Amino acid sequence: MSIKKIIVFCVLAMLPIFIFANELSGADSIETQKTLIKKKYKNNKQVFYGFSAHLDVASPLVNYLIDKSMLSFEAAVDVDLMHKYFPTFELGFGSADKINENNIHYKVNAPFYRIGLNFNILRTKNKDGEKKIFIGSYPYIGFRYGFSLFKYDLEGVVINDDYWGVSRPMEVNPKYLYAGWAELVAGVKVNMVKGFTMGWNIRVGLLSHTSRASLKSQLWYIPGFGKNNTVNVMFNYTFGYTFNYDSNKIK
Amino acid sequence: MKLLNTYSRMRKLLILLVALPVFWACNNDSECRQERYVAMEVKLFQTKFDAEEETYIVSNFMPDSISVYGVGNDSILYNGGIEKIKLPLRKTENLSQYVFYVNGRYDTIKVLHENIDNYLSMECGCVVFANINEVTHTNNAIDSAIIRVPEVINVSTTHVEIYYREDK
Repeated sequence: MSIKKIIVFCVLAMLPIFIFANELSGADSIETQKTLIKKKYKNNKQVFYGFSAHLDVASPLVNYLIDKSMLSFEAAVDVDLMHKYFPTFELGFGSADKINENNIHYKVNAPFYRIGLNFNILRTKNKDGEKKIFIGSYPYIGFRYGFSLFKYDLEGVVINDDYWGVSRPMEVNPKYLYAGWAELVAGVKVNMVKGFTMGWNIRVGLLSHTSRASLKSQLWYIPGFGKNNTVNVMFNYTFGYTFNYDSNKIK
Repeated sequence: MKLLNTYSRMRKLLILLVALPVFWACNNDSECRQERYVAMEVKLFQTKFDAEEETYIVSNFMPDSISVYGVGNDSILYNGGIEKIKLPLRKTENLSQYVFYVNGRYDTIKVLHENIDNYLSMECGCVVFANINEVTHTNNAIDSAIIRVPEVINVSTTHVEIYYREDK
């Protein structure tokens, strides 16, 4: 990756942080304008506060930068429980069409899914035990379990017999496989205006299992996980909308 | 205090951000790290008749002069004093033949085997394992041949033992 690309990436990635920091400092003035919401928040026992939908724009870009033969799209829905816990469901589609230096052709196209939880690391109550006004912006950590059921094709596999000076093609039949992995997530989500959100997160994924362990090494790309490394680092940059938030009214 | 906490959290996030390109840099997986060399290992022995005890004595055999090559391929596989030989089986056929020239006498070894294709990965390609079914030979200097381990899946085992008669 060139220096220029890294700088552009860093600037884009830091944008929500600056906005988020600005919002934290300006939260008090918002609070005075919305006294009704403040009253509502006091001693509030409400659990469900709404849900959000997000579209990730980084996956296609990051995949392209790592290897042009990979493509991935994904979107997510999360539910706001007590402004603290955000159960999350993610759905995406990953594909790879790779021919390597040995002329082996690997093809896969399949949807993938992730379920998990984000945890708002900001305090949601003040020192008196009263709920703070939630402005829809928060940094979080979380975890996911990702899985995909996919079929992969291999073509162009050739057996070379160096000493005897001959070669022959080897046929590898298409195979169906289930792969599952775990992810740790850290990121930030910012309520930009009227419920429209921006955010990013970094994920560290650990490939845990495939339905046939002996075939694990044959995989080059796993939809939703990326290249078949033991550990993968992933990045999401999301745009979204939050439904049914009081924080939408604040904005 | 609140501001300090906020800065502390922001700092952790920034550290994660800065570390990201480092994680990417570690993900170089284009090299093959698996062992791909598979060959049939042959060990040489010599049998000697002990007239007093009326029994055969078997000992390791390292000929003074030995050269080995495949039938249909003039490339010498081994040349010189050695008692263990690694022979590449044919990956495209089920019969592999070798010529052994030991201390001035020629013998031909025929190995009948079943090949098993095994795809490893895009980086490593594939390997061909084999099951040895039968080993036959001429009898100029060789007395007998035994299949010790029929499954040829690596090079760390002696698969076939060849017994030479003692030079008169």
